[in-house]
Amino acid sequence: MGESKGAESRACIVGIGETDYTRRGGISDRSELALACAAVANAAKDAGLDVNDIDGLSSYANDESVPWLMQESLGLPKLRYATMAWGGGGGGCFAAIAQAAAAVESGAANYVAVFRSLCQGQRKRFGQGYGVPHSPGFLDPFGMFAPPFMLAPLAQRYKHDYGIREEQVAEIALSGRANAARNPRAVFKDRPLDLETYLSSRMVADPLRLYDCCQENDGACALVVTTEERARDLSGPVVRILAAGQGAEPGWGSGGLGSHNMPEEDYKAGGGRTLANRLYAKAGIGPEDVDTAQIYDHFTYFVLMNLESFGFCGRGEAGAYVADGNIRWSTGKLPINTSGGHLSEAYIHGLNLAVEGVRQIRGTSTSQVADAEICLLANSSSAAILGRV
Amino acid sequence: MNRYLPTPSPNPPMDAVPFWDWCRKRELRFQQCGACGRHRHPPAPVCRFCGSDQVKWDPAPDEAELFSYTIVHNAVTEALKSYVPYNIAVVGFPSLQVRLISNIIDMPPSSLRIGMPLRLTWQECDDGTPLPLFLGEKS
Repeated sequence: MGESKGAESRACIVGIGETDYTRRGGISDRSELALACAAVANAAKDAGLDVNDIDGLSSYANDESVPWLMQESLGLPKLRYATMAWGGGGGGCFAAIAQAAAAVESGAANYVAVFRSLCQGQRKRFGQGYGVPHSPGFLDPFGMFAPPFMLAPLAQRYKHDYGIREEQVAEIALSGRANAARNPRAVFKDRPLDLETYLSSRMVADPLRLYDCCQENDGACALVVTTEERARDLSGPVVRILAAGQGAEPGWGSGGLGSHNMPEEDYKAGGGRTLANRLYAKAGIGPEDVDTAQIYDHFTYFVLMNLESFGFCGRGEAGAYVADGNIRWSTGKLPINTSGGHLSEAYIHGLNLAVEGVRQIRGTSTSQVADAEICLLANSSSAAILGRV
Repeated sequence: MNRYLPTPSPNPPMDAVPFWDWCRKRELRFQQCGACGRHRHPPAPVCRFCGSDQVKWDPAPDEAELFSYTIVHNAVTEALKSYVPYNIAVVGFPSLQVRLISNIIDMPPSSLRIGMPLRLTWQECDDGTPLPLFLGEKS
C-alpha cells in the first residue's frame, strides 16, 4: 500500500460473497463451515474467478472454519497462505483485510479470500458470554460475563463526562433501522423502530438498552483481495484498498474486554485515535474526504466514540453531530452503516460492514451515497479505507 | 451478609496467582514495579513503562472511588436469575493509577454515582477465596 509501490501491486477488492443472514438459530440445515465455503465460493464467482484460483485465506476472531477444513471442502489446490488476526472479538475484522492486502502486495498469494462465518444458533451465544475469558479471574467472579457488561462501563463514563443524551444515542439505532428497511438482506428489514420504542426498551446493562445492542445472527460473508494488475484481467468492478491496518491505543492492552486499565482519555473514547491518524496519512486523505463510513456497531455508543476518533467531529461532540442529521441517508454529510449495520442488517462480526463498503464504492448499495468515492471501515482496533480506482 | 453474586471462583493465570494469595490473607495488593515504582493491574510479568521484571506487591490504599459502572439486568446463568439487577463497578485507586473490576454490595442501583468514595470489604466465594468487594460509604 502507499505510493511507494507501483499501481500494479496495490491491493484491491474484486469480489464479495454472502450467504443468507438470519436471526440466531435461523440456519440449522447447514454447518458454520458450509456457510464459510458458500461465502468464499460466492465471492470468487462475483470476482469472475474459479474458486480454485483462491490461494490465500484470511479470517479473525478464532473462526473455526480453519484452512485445512476449507481445503477439504473447496479444493483450493493452490492454497499457500493462511492467516488469522488474533483475538476472540470482532476487533480483527478489518485487520483480516489488511493481512490479505499485505499478502497480495508482497506476492505471498495472488487471490486471498477474507471470510467470517458465524452460526450463533449452533454454538455459545456471544451475548451470554465468551468461552474464553480475556482476563481470567478478574471478570468472572464479579459477574462480568458478556460483551455488553464488559463494554457498558466505557459507554457509561463517556455518557457521563460528555453529557450525552439517550435521544442522541438513539439516532444510531434509528438511522440504521431506516437503512435496513431498504435492504432486502437485512434481518430487521420489516421491523421499523421509533424513538419512543427505543427509549422505553429494556436495559441490558446500563446505559445499554436493548436497541443499543447488535443482533446475534447466523450467516457468512467473504471478500476476494488481489492486486490491481490482476484485477484488470477480471471483468468486474475494482475497489482499491487505500489503507488498512490494526492496532489499539498505547496502554490499551486487553481494554474494555479485559483490563479496564487503559489511559482515562482513551477509556471514554473507545480507542482508535492513533489508528485513524495512521490510516488517513497512509491513504493521503482526511476525514473531510470520506463520503460514507461503515462503523462497527456492536453497541451504539461505540459508533459515537469512533465518529470522534476518526475525526468527523470533536471529542464529546458526536451526540450533537448525529442528532443534527449528519449520519442520515441520504441527506446527511456522512451516511453511515448504510446496510443497517450490525444493529439492523446482521452481526457477521464486522465483515458484512466491509461488504457494504465495497457496494458503496461500486455504486450498488440499497442506500447508495451519491458519487461515493471514499468509504471508511472503522473499528477501534482495525480499520480500512476503500476508494475508487 | 449473603454473597453478592453466585459467580465462579477465580482461576488465575500464573502471573496473577500472588494477587489471589494476598486476597486469601484479606489483603488487597497491586503489582508495583521494583525498578520504576509504578503500579500495574492486571498483573503482568514485565513493567510496560520501564521493562523491568522486578516485582513487589504493594498494599492498596483505603481510598478508592467509583470510576465507572454498569447495572446488569440480563441474567446469563440460571443461578443469577434472582440476583439481577446487580452492579459491576470499575473501582479506581487514583494514587496508584490502577483500576479493579468489582461489585458494590451495599447500594441500590439508583444510588451509584461516578466519583463516589468506596471502601474495601471481603466476601468468600465457593472455593473459600475472599473476593475484594466494596461498600458505598453510606453515612
